[in-house]
Amino acid sequence: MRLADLALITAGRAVLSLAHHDNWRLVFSGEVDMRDPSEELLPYLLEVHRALLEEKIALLEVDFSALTFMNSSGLKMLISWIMEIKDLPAEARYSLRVIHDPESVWQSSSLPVLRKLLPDHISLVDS
Amino acid sequence: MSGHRASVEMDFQPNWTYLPAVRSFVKEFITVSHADKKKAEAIALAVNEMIENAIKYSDREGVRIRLDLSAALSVTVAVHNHAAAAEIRNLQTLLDEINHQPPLDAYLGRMQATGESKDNKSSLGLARIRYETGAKVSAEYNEQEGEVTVLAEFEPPAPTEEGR
Repeated sequence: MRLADLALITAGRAVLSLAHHDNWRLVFSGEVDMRDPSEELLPYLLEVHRALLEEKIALLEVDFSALTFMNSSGLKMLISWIMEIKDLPAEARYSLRVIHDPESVWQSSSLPVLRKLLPDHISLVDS
Repeated sequence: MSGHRASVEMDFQPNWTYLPAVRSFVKEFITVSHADKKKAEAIALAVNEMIENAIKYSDREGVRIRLDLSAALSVTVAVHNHAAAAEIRNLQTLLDEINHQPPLDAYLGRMQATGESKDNKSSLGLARIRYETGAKVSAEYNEQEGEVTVLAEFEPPAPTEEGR
């Protein structure tokens, strides 16, 4: 599947949308609070991952600033995605530019720790 | 700076659909009493993680949550549920592991472990509470009755120069 075919997914109270502006940007909004996000959202993220590799995209912006809550199962889903990137040979990896709202408690506390899993390929910027 | 002493207790079936309502209520309740939105958001996050655990591991009906807010701005959250003996022992092991490490090391360690795990249980929630909210996390058990109460204690904020 191509990135252009992965424009939108909704699951529970979460909406994920993917669009190209200056870069490809994946926007999370709503709340990720379902029991098992790996059933609905992780397969979508892995499709995006495969398409990024196929289309040789070096940078994906991931905007969490409109996501008001993420539970620890949601964090586990993000960790699974990051591990997929980490398992690639270094030259094949793409980078994530994570956009966050510094006023959000969960974003300002969870995302810097997630970044430590792959610090050379994840950067954090304020929204 | 001081708040109002307040407490609230909720008792409900271990059903995921209650979570958004409980999270929202806790946030509003604490904001009214303690007038600190960030602290309220952090405590609501902790409550959500504790109730998710109670629902995932509960082996019968009845999840009970109690919030105690002191006038000195400390907050205690207690979540009570029933669970199988094996789950209670797993919780004891997990809490020992988490509480014997610095909060960031414990959280990062759980993240790395959960990245390698294939089941849908993240076991991240308690380490997350300890690191992200600064709460002291502990549990009380009654293995014979299959009862467990997980506690998160939030200290009052350090006094500022103005407040001294």
